[in-house]
Amino acid sequence: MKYTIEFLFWFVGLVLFQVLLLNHIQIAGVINPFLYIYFIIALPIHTNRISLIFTGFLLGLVIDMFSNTWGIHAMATTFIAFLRPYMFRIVATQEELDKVMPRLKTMGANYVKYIVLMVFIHHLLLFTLEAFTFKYFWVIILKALVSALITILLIFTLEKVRK
Amino acid sequence: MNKILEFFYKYLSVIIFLVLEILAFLLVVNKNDLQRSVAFRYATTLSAWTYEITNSVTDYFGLAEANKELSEENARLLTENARYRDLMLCSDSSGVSNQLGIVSARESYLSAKVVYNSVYDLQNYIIIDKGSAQGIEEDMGVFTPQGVVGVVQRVSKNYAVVLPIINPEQVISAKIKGNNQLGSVKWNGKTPLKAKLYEIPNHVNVVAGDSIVTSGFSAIFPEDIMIGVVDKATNVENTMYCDIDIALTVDFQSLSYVTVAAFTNKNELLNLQKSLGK
Repeated sequence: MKYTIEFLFWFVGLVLFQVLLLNHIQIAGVINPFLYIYFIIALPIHTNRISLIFTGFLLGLVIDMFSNTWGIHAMATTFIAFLRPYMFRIVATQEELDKVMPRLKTMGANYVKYIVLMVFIHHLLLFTLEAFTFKYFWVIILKALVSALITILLIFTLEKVRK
Repeated sequence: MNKILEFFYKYLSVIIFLVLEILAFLLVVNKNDLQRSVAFRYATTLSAWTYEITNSVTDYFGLAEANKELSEENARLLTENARYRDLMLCSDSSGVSNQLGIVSARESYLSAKVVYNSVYDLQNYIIIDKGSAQGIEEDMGVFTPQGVVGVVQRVSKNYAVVLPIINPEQVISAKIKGNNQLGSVKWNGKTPLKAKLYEIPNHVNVVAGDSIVTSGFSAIFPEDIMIGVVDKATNVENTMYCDIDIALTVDFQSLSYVTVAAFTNKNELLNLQKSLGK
């Protein structure tokens, strides 16, 4: 119950931060960070798959509603929510998997790997759907890389600020 | 038992994942303009391709009808040709031949074959086997020797989608032959044989059997192409307009070859109309 309320606040806070501030940041037409996926990243390690997928879809849909990009965020976010359990299996040790929350403090380098994979895959899928063509493949890769870097830095900042 | 449940549980999440992703994708291609147009382009090409294959088989059975239509059209053109030739020969002033020269340069006709045709849906549409590569553009009129079929709505490289009269979104500018009263023809949504004529004021005397033809004002169709014949006309009390049912002369159920009208000065006319703020 304690977690439920805490995560509800995170959901609202991240969505507002995304649609009110970050959606309006677009430096050089390339940098476009999407911090809201931190919500999917930060959910407890043992959240069951089905709730994860539904949460991802809902979160993406809410962002879509505010950014008028119907379905694009929903698709990308559902995808990384689906991938999350497999990510843990790839990057984390058994000892780390026994913990409750995925955090930088407790997981260290493996957490960095996890974040990088999640954010990059999400951004790549998002920008591809936005362009809806493979003609600008390298531009999309560049956009995803740069924006993912900013998003990752923002996530680390959040991790440092959180107790 | 536990293992089976566990397996099912895992499988269930994959199903939910796929369903949600498909839902999101449908949103992407339906609600976003760019993504929708790209998806439509692919869908049109793909469906036209499959219909063409199935049609190459069924086409054979329509050959007799097609031949008949072509010969009819041929005959009509020959008659017309003869009439013009007579005109030229009869008149010794250069004025008439000049006028004829303008007429022939203003519009040209392309023949196309129908590769897909729906008749019994609400949103009926037709695909023809000519596209932008053959000079087809949006808003060109499509007709047969029997009468008006519809208007080109979208064009891909080798195919074009035609919105026929029997689609609720299609409105065709028309007039009553004889008294030149202008109106617009719209489908009633029920049968591919009937449509309605709107905007004819009550005082106009319309009787069953009157011909409805194109007005020629929109640079889509040439003037005087048959659309239909008045079936029933009633004056409705307390309204300004007559309620007119017309029987369409084109048999949409057996379309095979159509003619597309191309106006060379269409854009000029449209720009001029736009400059009036219409």
